[in-house]
Amino acid sequence: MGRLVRLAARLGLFDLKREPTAFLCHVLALAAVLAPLLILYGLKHGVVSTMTRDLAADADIRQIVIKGVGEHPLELLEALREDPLVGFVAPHPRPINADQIFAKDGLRGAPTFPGTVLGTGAGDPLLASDDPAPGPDEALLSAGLARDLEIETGDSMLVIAERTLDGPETVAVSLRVVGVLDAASWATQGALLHPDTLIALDRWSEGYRVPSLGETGRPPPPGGFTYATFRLFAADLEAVRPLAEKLTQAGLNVSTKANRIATLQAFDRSLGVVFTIIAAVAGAGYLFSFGANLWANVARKSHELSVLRLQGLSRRATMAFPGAQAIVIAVAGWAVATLFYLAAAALINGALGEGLMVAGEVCRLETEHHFMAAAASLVVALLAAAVAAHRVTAIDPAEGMRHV
Amino acid sequence: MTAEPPVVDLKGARKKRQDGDRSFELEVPHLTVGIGERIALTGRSGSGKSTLIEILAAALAPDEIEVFTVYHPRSQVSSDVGAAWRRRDDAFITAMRARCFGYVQQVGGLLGFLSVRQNIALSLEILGVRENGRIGELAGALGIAALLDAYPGDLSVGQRQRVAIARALVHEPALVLADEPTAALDIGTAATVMGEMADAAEQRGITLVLATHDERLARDFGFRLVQAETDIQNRRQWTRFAYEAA
Repeated sequence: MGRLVRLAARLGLFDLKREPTAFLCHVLALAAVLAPLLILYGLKHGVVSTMTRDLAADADIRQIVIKGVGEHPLELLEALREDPLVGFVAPHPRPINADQIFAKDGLRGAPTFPGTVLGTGAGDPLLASDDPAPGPDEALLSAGLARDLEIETGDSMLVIAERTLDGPETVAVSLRVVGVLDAASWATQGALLHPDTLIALDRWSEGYRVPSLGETGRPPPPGGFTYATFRLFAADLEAVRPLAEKLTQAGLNVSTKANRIATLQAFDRSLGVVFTIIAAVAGAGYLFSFGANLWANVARKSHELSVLRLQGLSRRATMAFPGAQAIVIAVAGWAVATLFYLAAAALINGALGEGLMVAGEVCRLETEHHFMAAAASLVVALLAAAVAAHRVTAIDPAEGMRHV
Repeated sequence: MTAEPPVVDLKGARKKRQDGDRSFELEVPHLTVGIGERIALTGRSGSGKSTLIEILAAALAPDEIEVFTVYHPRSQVSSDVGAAWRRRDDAFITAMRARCFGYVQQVGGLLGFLSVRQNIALSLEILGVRENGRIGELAGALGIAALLDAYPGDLSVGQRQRVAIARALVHEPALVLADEPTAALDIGTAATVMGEMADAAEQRGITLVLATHDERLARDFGFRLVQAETDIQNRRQWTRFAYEAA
């Protein structure tokens, strides 16, 4: 049976080869349905994925702000670091201790500038991929502060903290600048410090004795140190809402920009529904059209097929005749549709890519989308071939003897 | 030593057709065709010659059948087609058709998307048999050797019939069934084609059964005539063919 099926399939292909015009019409008919669908889906995916990428690139969107300050145990920080929903977490001081004074080190009478200090580390969304995470004696500077201080990478700077215990006290911590952040990634005037350095300054500012900063100050509190708050970022856009809910359930008062994510996701879903409806209608139309075409082709070729049946080709094997034709037409149609899509996408991206609110590709498909389109074409082809094969089963071998 | 059975042994076959208030009934009480015989079914148009050819080709099932066996002298295998029809064994009948029969239609029997060589090779390909020079040999005998790479659309009617004859003979079947094989040809070409077919079949020991209007041509080439006995009454036609191998 396998040999006869292969023979019938080969004969179907010979038939296509002898009728190149009809073959081309079938291929273009498929491409005419598939190409607009690819472009439509490419637009949907391109716009949504670009907006998603832009949102994901905006660290603020993934940030979960813990409102107010509290006394969070050290264990909470460790638990958050282990949570897969968390992309980055660092302790953060009380707001009053996050504002410090900066000056260039080694320059007598150097001007001072106010700024914010944040704890950082590997995975901090504020860091570019080539920004090093600072060590305990190092810092990264914002572009604005580096410009004001006239500091470059490799220079040293001072972070100057003040407190009042028995009288006003000042401490200056010298840190080597290991990098200057891009202005676009962090517009705030300030410096990113190693968490240990940040917490040391925070505890000193709170009046505690911090050995690395001097011998004065109160001893640690009886219950041990706590953290006032955290800088917390979700692992990705999808993690923002569940992480916020988890923290809320743990008794923390948090705020997020999940609404912007939800809006994008709703936009994606709406476009997805619209696309699905269009694809379903177009796909059904194409299935009927392709099936009808193959059916008509089988009807047109019924005498030849009846001759094959008369010659000894079995009913099942003969079904491979339209089946092979359907598969070849589907693959060729998909290939032509993909070429149309690539041309259209290049045109659309060239014409609209720069002018739209989103940066990037307006029309875009991933490799797996092309494979899915090929698979869908094959499925439609096989369904259409099944329709044609049903017609084949009705072909009477006696027709092969009759005069036409 | 037992005598070999006939190539075709058909008994008690009956086929009815109804077209509005007109009816047609074909009855074959007994038809046996011996090995190497040449039989010509004759009768007026619409007498049922083609219907009988289709039944003999195992392509059209009769309404009733007592016996229908086909014997292939080369393989010495006898196939009980009647029993296969009764059990609706399409696979058996299809395989038997490929092995035991060759067909020559009046026109249109060739596949237009295949070359002459591919058309002739089709009978062998279906059986999974190597051609081993058979195509060239037959094409030479039938005068179509130069046309093997041409397509049917490029050929004259006479050339097409020669290709059809080559396709019918190349796999050395037990029986070649031909339905008006020369009806579309001029008198001279018809005689040439008929002669080539008869000679090529005889050289291979293949039995021939054809339906034809041209009794003289059939007689000239040694065909025994089996005349349709037809009776028409009140838009009802009844036809009977009967023949027993000599």
